[in-house]
Amino acid sequence: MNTSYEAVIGLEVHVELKTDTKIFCSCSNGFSREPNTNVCPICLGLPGALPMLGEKSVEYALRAGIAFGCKINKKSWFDRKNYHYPDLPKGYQITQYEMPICLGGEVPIDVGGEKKSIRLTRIHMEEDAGKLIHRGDKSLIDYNRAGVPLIEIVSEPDMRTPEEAKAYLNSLRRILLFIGVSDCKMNEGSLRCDVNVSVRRKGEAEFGTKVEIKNLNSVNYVGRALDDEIKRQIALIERGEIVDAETRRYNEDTDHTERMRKKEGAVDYRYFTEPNIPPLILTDSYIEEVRRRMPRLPDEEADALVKEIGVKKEDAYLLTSTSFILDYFKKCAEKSKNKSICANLFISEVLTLLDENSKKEYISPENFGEIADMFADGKIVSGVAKRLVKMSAESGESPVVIAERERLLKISDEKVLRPIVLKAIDANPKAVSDYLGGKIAAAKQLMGAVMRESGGGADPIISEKLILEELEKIKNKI
Amino acid sequence: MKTTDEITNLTVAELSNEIRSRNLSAREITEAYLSRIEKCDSDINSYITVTRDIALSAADEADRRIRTNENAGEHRLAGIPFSVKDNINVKGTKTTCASKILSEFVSPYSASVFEKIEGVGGVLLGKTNLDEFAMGSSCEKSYFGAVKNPLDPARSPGGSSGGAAASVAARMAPWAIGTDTGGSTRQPASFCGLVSMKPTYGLVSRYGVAELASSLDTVSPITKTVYDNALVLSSMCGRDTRDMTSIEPDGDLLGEIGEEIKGLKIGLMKDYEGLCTEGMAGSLRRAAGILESLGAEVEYVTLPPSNISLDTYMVMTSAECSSNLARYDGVKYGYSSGGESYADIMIGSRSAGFGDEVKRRIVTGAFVLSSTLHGDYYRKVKAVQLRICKMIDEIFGKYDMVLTPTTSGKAFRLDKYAEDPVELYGSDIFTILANLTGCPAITLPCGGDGKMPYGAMLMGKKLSEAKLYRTAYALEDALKPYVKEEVRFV
Repeated sequence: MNTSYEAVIGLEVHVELKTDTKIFCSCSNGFSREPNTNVCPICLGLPGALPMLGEKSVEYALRAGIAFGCKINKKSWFDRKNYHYPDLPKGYQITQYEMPICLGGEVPIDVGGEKKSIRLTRIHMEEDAGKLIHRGDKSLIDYNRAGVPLIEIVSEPDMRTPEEAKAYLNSLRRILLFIGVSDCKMNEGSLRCDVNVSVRRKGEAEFGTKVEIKNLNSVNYVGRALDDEIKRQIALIERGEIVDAETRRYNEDTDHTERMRKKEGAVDYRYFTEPNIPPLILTDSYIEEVRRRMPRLPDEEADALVKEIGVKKEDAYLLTSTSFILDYFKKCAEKSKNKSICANLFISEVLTLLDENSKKEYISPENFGEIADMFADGKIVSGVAKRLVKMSAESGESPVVIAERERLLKISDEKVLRPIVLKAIDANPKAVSDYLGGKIAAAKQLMGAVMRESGGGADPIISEKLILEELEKIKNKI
Repeated sequence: MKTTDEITNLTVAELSNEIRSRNLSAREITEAYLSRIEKCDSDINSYITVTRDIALSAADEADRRIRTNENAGEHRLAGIPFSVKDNINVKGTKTTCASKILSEFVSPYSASVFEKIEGVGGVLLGKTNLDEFAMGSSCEKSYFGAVKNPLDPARSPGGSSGGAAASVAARMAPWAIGTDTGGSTRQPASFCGLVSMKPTYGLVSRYGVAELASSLDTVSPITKTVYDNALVLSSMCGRDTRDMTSIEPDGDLLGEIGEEIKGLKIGLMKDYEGLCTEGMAGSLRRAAGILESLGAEVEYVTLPPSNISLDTYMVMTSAECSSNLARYDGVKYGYSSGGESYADIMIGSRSAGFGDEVKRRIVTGAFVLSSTLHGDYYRKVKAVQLRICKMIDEIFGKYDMVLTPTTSGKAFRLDKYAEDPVELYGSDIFTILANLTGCPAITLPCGGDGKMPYGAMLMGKKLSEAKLYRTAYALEDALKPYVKEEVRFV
């Protein structure tokens, strides 16, 4: 990027709330393979059907507002945004235009250790539209998504680089996932991102002409689209040309942004207050109740892990990806004597098998605790710990029982280990001659043979000592 | 055995007594009404759909319940037929809104108010005609043709619930469910010599009632008598979880009926004479005198200027209906013109599917809501509406209710307003105040010119239905010598 310019970036993020029902009816908000099955007179906009605001949608929007430190409006209301589109059943969208549930707030970001806060303008509730599916020269409509609750999170134009925009989006996702209001899957559209970007010469107070890039469906694409768009705008200005106010899209194949449409006078949405929904009044006690039921925020939890368990900062970040992961880890740690060893083992052997949406414990905390304890007590080697996690997860059996039966406990007794070492030396004359010829590393090969022979249970340190002793003996004999 | 004429001359309360004393069965009553419909409705055109099969099976079910005294068999509306305005959904029947665009639309669900009456054993006779999407005051603007006033077929039955009123006036239903957004049940009731209470906004659930102006729409009954009206509204009303604006009534609506009205303070609309015909004014004057003679204190009161109320009402209803009717785009259901693109289908379907009056209001609504004019129109009238409500609050701080004419005169001739639709809007000047303020208002016959009746209207503060019924009941009784039976029942 030409360093005499800076970009001004703001994001509008639509987040689908994972409530059980749609925002204004009792239709399931779950996935349905069959189109137009999660529908009813209300979300289809049949004559006379009225919206009923679902309490869960309000609670989730409120959670987000609390998490980002927004000002909660005790009185907000819904408006109609009127426009025609085939996927919009009523010919208007019910949204919060004039008075949203949350104003202000901020999202913490960290770019390469540099901390910054991105201010939010507002968070408002609205309903999603259906989906258009194009088949040849026909268009089909699936209304399963119509009426799914959304919150729109609008940031101030506080970001200056694509990295900051990515960090903002990651931070936003992490917090939303953690407070359990959305599954935030960008590729599936449960988190959708539009970007506004302009460039100006550094030091200028005025903003440049804003371009909107719509429907970016991964954090990575947000970065790449911004990189390309910023370059494009700077090049235009450098050539003395004008940046058009327009809506663009990012083409993943060409890695460039391209024009969708020029902004020719804003569409007139003819907003007015939705008459079928009385103003939304939130009492202090309700707001307190929601606040009380909310988990702590991921950064607070991560700090606590560093302080209380002594895990590394990067590890604490991983362990607080979602509240499920954190709770699961805490349960495992509770069953383990050495929390730090538990954390390492959990991150390497369990966390890698989970993702943001996991809700199922891979191995029971009790069994995991037994493994961590055996490892901490030196009863098993790390490779065995890894194997035991998998074995116990699959069978549900106690790892102690498995380890004894399968003879996986660490063998430290020299009387038991020496015959195994001698057997390995007998069976690997090439490795022995290599060692004797000066290739010290050949001892590792013998170590592998000892491990195989002992079923993985041989104490690596004692085994190594015995191997070297025996090899020295041979050397001396020669 | 009673004849069809004898049966259809009875009120709801009388029918209910006949059923309970086993003099009549629901089946006999229903058959009497169905034969009456068959005989008369080709002239009147009050029904768009007659639900003969639904009616007969509901009647048989009601008779069974009444015999075994189970499942609301003891309810006073059990086995009593009724008609439903065709902008109210009944599962499995057409809900046309008297529009081409919904002319073949069969609803997959029922309105809450219908379910309530059906649940207590009511017998649906059919769906009644209206001005398209309830926009109109003459019942001439129906895709299914105009409705005629049963008292004089050359005249309008009023609108938009003209079919509902005509069905009761012509003895083709003992009572009817209509909707009232600016006077749409009270004006037709008045034109047909009937009683209608527009309840407090929200008292009857609007769930399943095709919307005109959501913030003003109410569902209201049309009956032959005040008592019947209170009886049926009691069964229609109450909080419904499916309508967030719905509310509970303040006690028993029938609770005060029969009590004297001595000491009630009634404000008589000042200057009403200038806004109505001499005949109407004379009837109202007499009604005021009767109220006084019954012990009420009657004083002149200045109401918010009716021309301002009318303008406010027109801007609000146009704005809301332009949005409410946006869903009819020829894509999901209803009439579709087909076409090459979404714009083609939408423009084609709406152009051919809506009538002129509907288009006029949609265009007006889009205009007053447009971002550049929003402040001049929509926002302004919302502020005016608040002012009007404040004025009305003050009035009801001093008076129990106010008395006004329901309409400026008797039913007008069909075609009278064909040339000037805007002039027709003016026929709502007395009724819209109750809608703008959310207050209840009841009309009842107070006299007539020959066979054409006049209506007097009592309007009270929100949730004062019981007191209005009490007053209207007393007035109705005292007016009996002046309101001819033959005016009321053809």
